[in-house]
Amino acid sequence: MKFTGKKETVSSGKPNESTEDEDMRMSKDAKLYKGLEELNEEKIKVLMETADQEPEFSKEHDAKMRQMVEERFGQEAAERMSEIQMTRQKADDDEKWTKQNGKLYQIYPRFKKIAAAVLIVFMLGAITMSTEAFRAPIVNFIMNFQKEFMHISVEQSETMVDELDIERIYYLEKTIEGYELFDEIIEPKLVVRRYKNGKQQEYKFTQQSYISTSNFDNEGTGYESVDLIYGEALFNDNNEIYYLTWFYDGYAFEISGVLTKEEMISLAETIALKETTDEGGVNE
Amino acid sequence: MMRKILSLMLCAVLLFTISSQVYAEEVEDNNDYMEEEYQMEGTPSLLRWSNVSSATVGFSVSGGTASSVITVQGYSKVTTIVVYTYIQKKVNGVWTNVYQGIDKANSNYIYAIRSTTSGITKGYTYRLRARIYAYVGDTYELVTLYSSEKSY
Repeated sequence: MKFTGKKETVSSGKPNESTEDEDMRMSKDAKLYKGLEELNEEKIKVLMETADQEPEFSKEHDAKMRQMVEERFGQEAAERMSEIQMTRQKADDDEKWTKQNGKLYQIYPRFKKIAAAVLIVFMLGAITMSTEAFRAPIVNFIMNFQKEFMHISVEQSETMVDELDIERIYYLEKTIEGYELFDEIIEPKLVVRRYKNGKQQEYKFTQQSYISTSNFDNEGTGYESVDLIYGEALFNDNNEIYYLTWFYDGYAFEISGVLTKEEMISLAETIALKETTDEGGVNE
Repeated sequence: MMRKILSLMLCAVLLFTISSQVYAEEVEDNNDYMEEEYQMEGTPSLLRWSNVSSATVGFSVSGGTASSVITVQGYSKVTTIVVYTYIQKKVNGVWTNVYQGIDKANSNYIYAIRSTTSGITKGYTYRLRARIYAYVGDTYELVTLYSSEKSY
């Protein structure tokens, strides 16, 4: 509205008013009606939107209602009412939480699926990565079943061998009947004694101070854990030759040959130290 | 949507594992083994682990020295065993021989102990490559073994 300094009066509806004044008055009325209609529409809209919402009561109101119910219908009815009020309160709290964290609440179930998918993929990956060789730890040895090379390799545990030159040489106190020592190898890290009988059958006793990996045929080889006085040992039969391997005093020991398992165990439990003489020689 | 994500992730893992295995096999060995092939006589056997009962390899690198021990136990029928020892150094992803030795025994048992300081420098990875020929008469079985890799 533009003010010109001219005083205007509110329309009185007098018939002698001029046509110009009449038009101005009608225009103002129309604007007022239109504004009122818009205001009403807005109020109605708000009322319509909130009509389905649960009414919110104060805690004081709830307490007063509970007291009234208790007086009129007894304590049991009042307790039942309290339960209903608590349930309603919890529902209200949940709704508020959902409104505040709506997006997270909607995404959460998806997060669970994604996490499950990641876990599955990770496990598949781990399994795939380990298919290079099937490794099985047995008595300080790790066995690799390498199908592509058709052999099994047995790695010794690195913690069981000192990897220094042999300072304490062991020997077998007992010899299987019919066999005689025919070959002796003494190297800084390897000592081997070979025994033979009249049928040219052999067995040998090995002491070593280096980590090694033994390789055998995949087929026809069986493995078994055996208890010795020194701890657990690994026994394997490889067709005509048998092997018994164990660790003791920082060295790896092995008896191999055509002997039975019992003979090998009896031999293994007779190992003894060679005594070093002052002159550098040895006494068995 | 979830199926797509799962499929994509599975593909990624499989590609990663396959590629890593391929990478492991891509390390080249361009050494000349003509001498070994030239020296060996007899007829190769197609049977595997028919002459060799067990073959053990030990390898270590310390104090500027690489040391190896190879022991081979053949079955009683084995008459001769020949062992070729190669100590290899990985240079720019290629295994290069820094040492080679030959041991022979007219027996069904052999041990081959070798060591070298030549070409052993810090900052490289080394391994042992063993080629074992186990003879029964004129026919031999060939077994090739590698030690685990040692960083020095």
